[in-house]
Amino acid sequence: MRAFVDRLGFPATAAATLVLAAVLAMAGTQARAERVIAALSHKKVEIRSNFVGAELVLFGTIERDAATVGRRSDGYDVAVVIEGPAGDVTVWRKERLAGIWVNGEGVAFVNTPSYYAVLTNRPLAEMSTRPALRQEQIGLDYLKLQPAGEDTPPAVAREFQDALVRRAESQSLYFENPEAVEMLTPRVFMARIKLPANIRTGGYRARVHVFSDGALVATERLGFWVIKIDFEAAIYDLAHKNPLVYGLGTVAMAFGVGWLGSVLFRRG
Amino acid sequence: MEIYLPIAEIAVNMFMLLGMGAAVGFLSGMFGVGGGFLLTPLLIFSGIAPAVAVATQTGQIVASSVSGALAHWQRKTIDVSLGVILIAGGLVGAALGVVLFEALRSFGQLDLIIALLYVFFLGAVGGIMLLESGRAMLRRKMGRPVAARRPGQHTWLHRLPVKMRFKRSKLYISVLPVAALGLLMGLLVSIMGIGGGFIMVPAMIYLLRVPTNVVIGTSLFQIIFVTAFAAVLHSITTQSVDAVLALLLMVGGVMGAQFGVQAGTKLRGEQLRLLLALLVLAVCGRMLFGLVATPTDLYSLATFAGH
Repeated sequence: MRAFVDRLGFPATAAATLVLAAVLAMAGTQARAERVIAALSHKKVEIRSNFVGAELVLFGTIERDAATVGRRSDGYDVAVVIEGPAGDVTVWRKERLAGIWVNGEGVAFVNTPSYYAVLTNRPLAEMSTRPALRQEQIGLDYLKLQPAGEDTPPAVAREFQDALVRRAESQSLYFENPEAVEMLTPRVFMARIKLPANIRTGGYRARVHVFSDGALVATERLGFWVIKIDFEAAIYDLAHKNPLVYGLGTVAMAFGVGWLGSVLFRRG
Repeated sequence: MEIYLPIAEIAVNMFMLLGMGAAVGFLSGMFGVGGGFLLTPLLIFSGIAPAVAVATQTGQIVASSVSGALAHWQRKTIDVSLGVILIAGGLVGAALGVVLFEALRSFGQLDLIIALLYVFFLGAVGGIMLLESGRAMLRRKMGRPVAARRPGQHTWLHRLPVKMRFKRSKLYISVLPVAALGLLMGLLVSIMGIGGGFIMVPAMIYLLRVPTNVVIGTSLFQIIFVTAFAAVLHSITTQSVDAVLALLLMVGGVMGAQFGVQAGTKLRGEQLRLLLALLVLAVCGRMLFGLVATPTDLYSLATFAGH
């Protein structure tokens, strides 16, 4: 079933329907307490020159065996957590120095996801308890970031982490959306994953957590890739793997455009 | 139409970039300046990371100065030997500038230094031009002839050793101040993303006493090579030259410049200089405002969204 979902050009609704059908078909095979089975509409998001962001659809179904039937009353809750490729990020705090604002103190965080989205079917606080959410790092409040310096006081680390989350939120790279997961039936759900244009390329990890009466009952992990292709990839690769050729090429292009301009627009 | 820039890693409206290039090209054709000092701040204001804006600009300036220098080459208004000495200093300066650029970036102070340099140089050059052109306009109004500055007076710069004869400039001066000027300009090219014509031209006229007719051609000639070198160095070390962004700006700029040249011939010299001074001071003011105004968020991130 993977072959056809690999292409972004494939109509999203048709792909989504097929994914849903496949998920439902897979669900019939196995049962052991609760289980969640999920699939993504695309395994690859391709960045071309017209890339302005993308939307992926995740479909899932919750399976349960005979022993768990009738355990609960008001259905399941679903949280989908997506994390982008991690790296080091430095947060700078501006200070006023002789009338102008300059970067003063800075705290570096290691292994920080470049994208962090929490998609749920209702507000996190209504779904589970704080310790459970913290345990699984579900939610912006429970994200655990590691400062690079061992001696960073916890209060300072907290302050700069809050700032990091706030800045990333303003760039649409970190967010929580309590309406992004739609329960199609009490046991079948769909989540819309929004990727902005400024996302990093690399591997993305998605975790699907299912809660029942506030307790985590099942987890599934998936992944997808965000890659540059065609021209965008060629430019990016050349710039990083063969920077001398790239630089000389850019300069040659500049000479060409400059010369062409003076020939085309020569007056008199 | 949005276009995704592969190195800047953001989507920007293509027509906005072409338009920005054309508008700055128009002004640069009109005033006979490179326009880097306008385009780099514009790119930064429109959300492109300062590092990418500066590095990409070095490539864009090559195109606009090639266009300009070709015209001067045909009119034989380039002093090649003077240009070569300036370039020699400029290459060293550009290399030092790129090293400094990387160091400042790792300390988180690059954006600040870029803004401060802009405020300083734009403020100084804009202020001097405003005073000078205002005075010239006043004199004209009062009916007195506008006296051209008389060359030939020598300063201490002309008494330094290692003298060389520059035929086309009709100068016999030491190469040391020439190379030093080139070096300073090379530094600014790498750090500010400008060609530096708006500093180089007055410096050549007032400090080195180069005749006005060869000043602009020679300045453009040296800018080509120093900015080309800086663009290659930026590609290798900072890897923040965006070729797609550069191409859009070049195309817009080269087209805009042609119309600017025609518009420029309709205005008198001191009127042009007054307008340019006001423009330079406006950019300076906007940069200064960015430094002084309390930011909406005191915190900023480095390495998110590319850089």
